[in-house]
Parts: sequence; C-alpha cells; structure tokens
Amino acid sequence: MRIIDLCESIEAKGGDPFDVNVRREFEKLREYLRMWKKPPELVLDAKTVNKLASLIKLQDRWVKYRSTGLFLDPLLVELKIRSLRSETLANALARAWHPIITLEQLTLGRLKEGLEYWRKLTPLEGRGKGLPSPEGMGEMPFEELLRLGFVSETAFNQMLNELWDELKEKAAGGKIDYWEFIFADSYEETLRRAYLTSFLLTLGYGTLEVDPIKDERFIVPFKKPVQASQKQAVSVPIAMNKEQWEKVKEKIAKK
Amino acid sequence: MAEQEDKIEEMRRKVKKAAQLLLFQRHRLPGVRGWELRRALGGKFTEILKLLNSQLEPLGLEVKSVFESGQPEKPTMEDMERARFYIVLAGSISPSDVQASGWRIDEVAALASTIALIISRQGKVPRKEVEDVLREKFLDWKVELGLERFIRLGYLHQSEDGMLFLGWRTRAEVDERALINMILGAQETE
Repeated sequence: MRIIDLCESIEAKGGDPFDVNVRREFEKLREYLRMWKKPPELVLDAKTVNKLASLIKLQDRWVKYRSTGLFLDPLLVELKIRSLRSETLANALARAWHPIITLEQLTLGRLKEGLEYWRKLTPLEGRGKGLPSPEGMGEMPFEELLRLGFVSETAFNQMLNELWDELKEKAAGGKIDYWEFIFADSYEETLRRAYLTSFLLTLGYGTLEVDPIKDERFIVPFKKPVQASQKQAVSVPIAMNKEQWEKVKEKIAKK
Repeated sequence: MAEQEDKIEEMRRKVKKAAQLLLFQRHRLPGVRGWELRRALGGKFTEILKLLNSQLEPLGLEVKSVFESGQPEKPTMEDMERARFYIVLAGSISPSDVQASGWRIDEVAALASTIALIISRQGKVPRKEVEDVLREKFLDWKVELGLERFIRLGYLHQSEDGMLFLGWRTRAEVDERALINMILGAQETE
C-alpha cells in the first residue's frame, strides 16, 4: 500500500519520479510474493506492479522533457511570476500570442437544428402546465418546527446552554477567535457549532467583535444573556464551505 | 503548355479551397483536421498549404499545425493527417490591441501566469496551486472567474480531479517557449 500511495502521490502532484527506487521496490515485491496466498493479496501485488510500471513511464517522460529546451525550474518560474507586474506579464503573453483567424458562420446543419428546436419548443403559455403548484413551499420558522415537533425546545436549549458554558470557559473572561471556537474535527460538526453559535449570539448570550482591517472575528461571551433591545443588533453574515474549513484546520494544526 | 496551365489553375483552385476551409469555421471549434484537408485537397495537401502560406505571408498571417502529442521532430503523413490546422496571426499583437479585443490587462496577466505555471510543471498543475499563486496578485473573484473563462475559451482544460492542463487554443495560439523566455527574461519588479 505504501508503494501504491507513493506512486499515486508522484503521479498526482507531478513530483520527481526518480525519487522512487523502482529496482529496490521490485526486489521487495519479489521477496514478499512467496508469502501472498489469498486472492486480495495477489490483487494488491498486481496493482503495485502496475503502479511501478506507470512510474517507469513517468520516468521516461521526465527524461524526454528534461532533454527538451522547455525544461524549467518550476520554483524559478513561480517566483518570477510573483515578482512581475501585471502589465509585464500581459506584455509577455501578447508578444507570444498569435490568435486564430476564423470566421463563424451559420451552416445549413445548424440552421436545421435551430428549426427543429423551434418546432419542438412548447409555447410560453403551455410551459407551466402539468407542474405541481409551488404553493406552501418556503422557509419554515424555527417556532413552527418546534410546534410540529421536529425539534425539541428543551433539547435545543440544553445544547445552547452547554455551548454557552464552553464558550465562557474557553474565552476565560475575555474573547475567543470565532473560527477557533466553532471548529470541530468534522465539517458537519463545525457547521452544527456555527449554527448553534449564531443562536447564542442572536439570543444575547454573547456578542461578535469584528476587526475589518485584519478580517478577524471574536466572540465575547456575556455573563448573563442581554436582551436584543438593550443593544444595537446587526447581522454579520459568515460564509462557510468545506475548503474554508480545511484552511482553518491547517491553521489550527499549525498552532 | 495547355496541360501546365491546367495544372496551375488546379493548384490555384485548391489554394482557394484550402483558404476557405481554414478561414470559415465549419465545426464547433475552429481549425481543420489533416485528414479533412487530404479529402478535400488530395494527397499533396501539405504542398497546397505551403502555397497558401506564401499567399498569406504578405497579410501577416500563416498556417499553423498543432500535433496531437507535441511537435514531432519529423512529422509523418500520419502525424499530419491527425494534426489540426489553423490560420493564425504571424506576428505578435500589442497589449493595446489585446485590450481592444475585450481583454483586461489583469486577465491577460493571469492567463500568462497560468500558462507559464503549467508549462513549468510539465503540462499539468492542480487548480488550487494556480489559484494560490494568482490570489497574491489578483482579487479572489477575478481569479475564479478568470480561470472559468480561460477554460470556456479553450485556453485551459480542467480534468475531473481538478488538474489544469493547456487547452487546445493555447497550443494553437501561444508560442510557449517565447512566453517562458519573456517571463524569465523580464527585469521589471514590483
């Protein structure tokens, strides 16, 4: 599995295929081959051989590429791109650019396709017919969900209280970074915590401090809930997606 | 004598036909495959293209061939038949001409950077890595929109696993070696 992972990693990331000592890996495979008895073990062995063969193909391409005039140090190119002004980069492409000269035209075939499409197109007044009415669709308020029994108020309040206690403990009388607080080991759990935190803040269990210059957000817990009327309420939209969660994960891991 | 005149007339007719085939877009993408040219112009279609090239030269245009797997040292007839042929601008264009054709300078700079990054990584690079480099110079939303536009226009190709490759249009329109030389040789710094 280690050899397969190594080969796949080089294939995917475009690393140096000569980092793998193919001969040594094949010797290892030969050594272990006698021990494999079950079909899954033999399949894995065959897969490893296949991956090593792909790696040899990559090595062949690597040698050919290095022997051409287009071989470059990727880091050098990246550094150069980072250091050049947009105008200089644009000028470089303009000087190496030879646009295609072509004239688009409507062919008989395309004209026939268009006619066919037009013939099959349902008139405007007939398009909505037969579809179910969108009546009743829309956003359901939390109170309605409670009333219908989809969520339990007691359980929800308990979750909020637990999170509030955790917030007070982590903030230790001060404030805590928003992302650091809501972050959990899984993306789904992070979303759940973000959702509950938004309730905590809306219900006045704490407040959100935003530093627009550094683009940082901190949560400051209150000792007692403050009613919305007692403070100036503003909405702060915070978008979250899996990619952002990955970034926060990396940041927290570094800490 | 009459036979020779007939031959010349025949060649003229074929050169015209070749120009029409290459200039009028007949498929979804511009360009004509070698085998299509052979079918329309005969087995010596490469000779006809040479003649067409000499006619296009004074106009600042040329016939460009793009081979399926890179430029072969000595293209065989099979390579020629599988290649795609275009008529392109022979010389380069000025940045103001680029702007006049609807491109913004930062878009062209982003495209130049992306193409150079892909070339330097042997033809493929994860989109995320390109985005990280571009985000240092351009706004987030411009990076996202720019890459999508380059893919749509055929300058880039994105695989299902998020890798970016040079698209058919880059291979037809961009002199990769010249671009890299110009970027590496540029002296201005921010």
